[in-house]
Amino acid sequence: MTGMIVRRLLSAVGVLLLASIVIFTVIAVSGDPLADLRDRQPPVPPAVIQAEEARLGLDQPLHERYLSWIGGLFQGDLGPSTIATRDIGAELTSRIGVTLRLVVVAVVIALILALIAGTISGLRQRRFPDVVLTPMTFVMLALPSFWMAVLFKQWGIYFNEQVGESVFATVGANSVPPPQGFVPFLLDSAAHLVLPTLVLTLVHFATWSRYQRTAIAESLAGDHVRFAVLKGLSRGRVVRSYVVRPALVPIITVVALDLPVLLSGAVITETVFQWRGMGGFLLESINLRDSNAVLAWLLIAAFAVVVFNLIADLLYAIVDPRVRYGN
Amino acid sequence: MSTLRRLSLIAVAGALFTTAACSGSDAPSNDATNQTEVQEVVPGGEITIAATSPITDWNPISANGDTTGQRQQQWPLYPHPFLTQPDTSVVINEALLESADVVESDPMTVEYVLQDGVQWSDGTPISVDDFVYTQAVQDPSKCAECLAAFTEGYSDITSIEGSDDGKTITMVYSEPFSEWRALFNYILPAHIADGYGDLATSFNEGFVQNVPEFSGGPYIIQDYTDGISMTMVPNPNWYGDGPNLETITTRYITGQGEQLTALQSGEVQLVYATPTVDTMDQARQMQNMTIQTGSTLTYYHLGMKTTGDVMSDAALRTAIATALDLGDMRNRTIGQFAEDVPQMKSSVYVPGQQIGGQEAYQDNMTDLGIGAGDAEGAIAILEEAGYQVTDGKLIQPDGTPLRDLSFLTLGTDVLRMELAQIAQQQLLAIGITVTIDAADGARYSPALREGDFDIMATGTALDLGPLSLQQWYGTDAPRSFGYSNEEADRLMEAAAAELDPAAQIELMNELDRVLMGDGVVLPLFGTPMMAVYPNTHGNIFINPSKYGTTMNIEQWGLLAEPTAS
Repeated sequence: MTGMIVRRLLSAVGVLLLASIVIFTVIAVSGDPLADLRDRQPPVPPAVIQAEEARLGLDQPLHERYLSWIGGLFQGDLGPSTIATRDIGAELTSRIGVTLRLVVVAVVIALILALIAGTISGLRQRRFPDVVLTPMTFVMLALPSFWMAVLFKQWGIYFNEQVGESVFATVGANSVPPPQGFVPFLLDSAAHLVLPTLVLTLVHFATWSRYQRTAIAESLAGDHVRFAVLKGLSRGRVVRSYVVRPALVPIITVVALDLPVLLSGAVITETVFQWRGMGGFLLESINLRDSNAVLAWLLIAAFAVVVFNLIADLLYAIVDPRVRYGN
Repeated sequence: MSTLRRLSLIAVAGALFTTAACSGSDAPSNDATNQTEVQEVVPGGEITIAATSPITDWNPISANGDTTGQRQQQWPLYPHPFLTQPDTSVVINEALLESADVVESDPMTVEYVLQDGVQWSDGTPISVDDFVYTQAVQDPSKCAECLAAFTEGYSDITSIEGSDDGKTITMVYSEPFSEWRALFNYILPAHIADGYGDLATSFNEGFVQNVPEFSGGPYIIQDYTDGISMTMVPNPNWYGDGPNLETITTRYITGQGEQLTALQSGEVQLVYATPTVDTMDQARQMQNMTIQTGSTLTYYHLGMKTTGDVMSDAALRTAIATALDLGDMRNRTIGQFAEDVPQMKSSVYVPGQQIGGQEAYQDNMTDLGIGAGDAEGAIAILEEAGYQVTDGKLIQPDGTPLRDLSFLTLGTDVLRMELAQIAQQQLLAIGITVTIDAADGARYSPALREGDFDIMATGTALDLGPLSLQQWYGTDAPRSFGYSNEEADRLMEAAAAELDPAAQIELMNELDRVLMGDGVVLPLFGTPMMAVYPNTHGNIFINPSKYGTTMNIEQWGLLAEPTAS
């Protein structure tokens, strides 16, 4: 097990290093960070452009810029932003916190519901409650997430208008100014959290529950299940140990692939509900042509992919003994 | 299977019902107006403004801070000698100044007389020191390291002196500078700068990085949370009338759609943005809202390259200008949602613009016979120059077909894309095939500057009069894309130095005829703006200047009698 972890970690470092070179090169050739400054009306003095080029290191050759950037990373410096007042590292830290706040609750709820619904559907195929859950999840899958987010937002506004109270908030993570006192603050946070969490939960519940249903159905058809039944094991034990447990492997893969994307920012949900998270950070940085900020985001996204894949590998080993013994 | 189908239908019906319930289609539609008269308001109340982007640079006159959004948000914090009115006239800010005049013409000498008691929020008087500092940081000869957005005019000031206990400030210019009223639009506090260090350090770092704890305007910042909100309260030492509202909060909401939804949900009370058909419809569906539309001093226009293999032929450019129907372009684009914004028939002034109290705008387009969609006239011009239209294709005098012309536009700008498509249709009538080059943001501006097009659509701000035009049409100007005309250069130079408004207007209109005659600019219409807010609030206007709607923020307030929706 330890050997496997070490091998995976070494491979992860290699992947990250390669990713950094590719990402840096692509970003460096994809646009001029000073384009906005050059386009001002009236034009800014040429001396200002030169000073900004020097500050951002744009007057250096590409390889020197890369070495300087990667060297800075090891010292915790993510490089200068096109926005002089922006501290990329500090802002990313706060943005990750916001995204985690939004995503963690949604992921936990979605995962639990998906496991339950998918398992029940798989075990009771074409019977109640599968005949309700299956079309319901298909409808959710068919709805584009941006549309669902807008729909819930409008529904929240409509509800508020009907009750004459601001029960659901639709902008940001908290009111401005935030209410004083712990309980009012908590209620305010909850009012802001409900709708985006609901959207994210439903979007992921729909996908994950389908995977779980399919995995259960496949597991049920397996020879090992038939053998366990013929052995006379109780239904509960067969379901727990021979059906559900092997069926967890696919869902671990799917969740491990989805989580880095979610942590990199639930872009659509954050945009519709105006949460200042990782997704917004990427969009703003692209908009501002802030290449070092985009680089930092991409690097974190790459890091998250590597880490969650590593976690998935470890979970395989726990859930499926064949992986462990095979190594 | 039938059960599944039934359940699916129920789910779809539920979704449709929810959509219908939320659409609020029964709401009455509001008409857009362009209110410019000050209404009676009562003290108290608050407002939350939706803004697209937060402050990224706290120095409103630095190169990075001088952007539309930041200028507008920081306007309430600084003293300003002049104000642009909703009708485009520029008037003295009577809260700050008793007078501001050119008292000598050779050398040009400007005298500002401050009102009694004008002061910063900490009680320090606004004085000549503030003017001296603000000039020095924008004059490269005094501070080469200062990263100022704009240095023209400031570098012509040779001396600034205070007299009459600092109440009178006298400035001498080395050259006449007609746009002197546009200078000192944000006066920075010299006593605060002293605490930040030398000129360059204070300007590039002190004012840039620190959230202002001072104010020389009607409001002062109470709280700023980066990327979330900015809250302003009245400046206790404000020396003018008002302000009326007790709290003004700016909430950062990216995207116009999200801003309008926030307005609908009551989380913001003012959306100030460039409208589209969709956003205008969305606003009209809201109840109890005031919708204002108006245009600005920034205008959309087409332009033609005047150099190169085919575009260097004046006859071809004239024919294109004659064949294009610019009024039709206006009707089919902004005419769909901003009926009040008229077609522009001048490239140097917007309709109704006043300079020194005199009407400046003239229709120079009609006399030139361009922009009216006269395809027959265009063909006659071409035939006289040796061209022929054969089988719907324009043949050049040398017998070869005219190559396809490239129309450069910004792919992400719906309006500019529509303009390109309409031009493409209109020019088919004279046998010209246009290919649309829908560039992304990264390629569009460099392509524009380098002249990598035959025809293009863009926007120009006219806030700086002749200086605004010089950046495009002056020989070797930053954006000239190869255009050069000695007569145009002479007129721009003369207008920039002309202190008499009537003479300047004449020079500018002459310049207009030269530019349009060359086909280098074909004006379309002013950029429309939209302000949407509850009808409980008043005195929020569309301001045509680049400083936006907050220019009269001290007048904003709760209406004594709310208007009917």
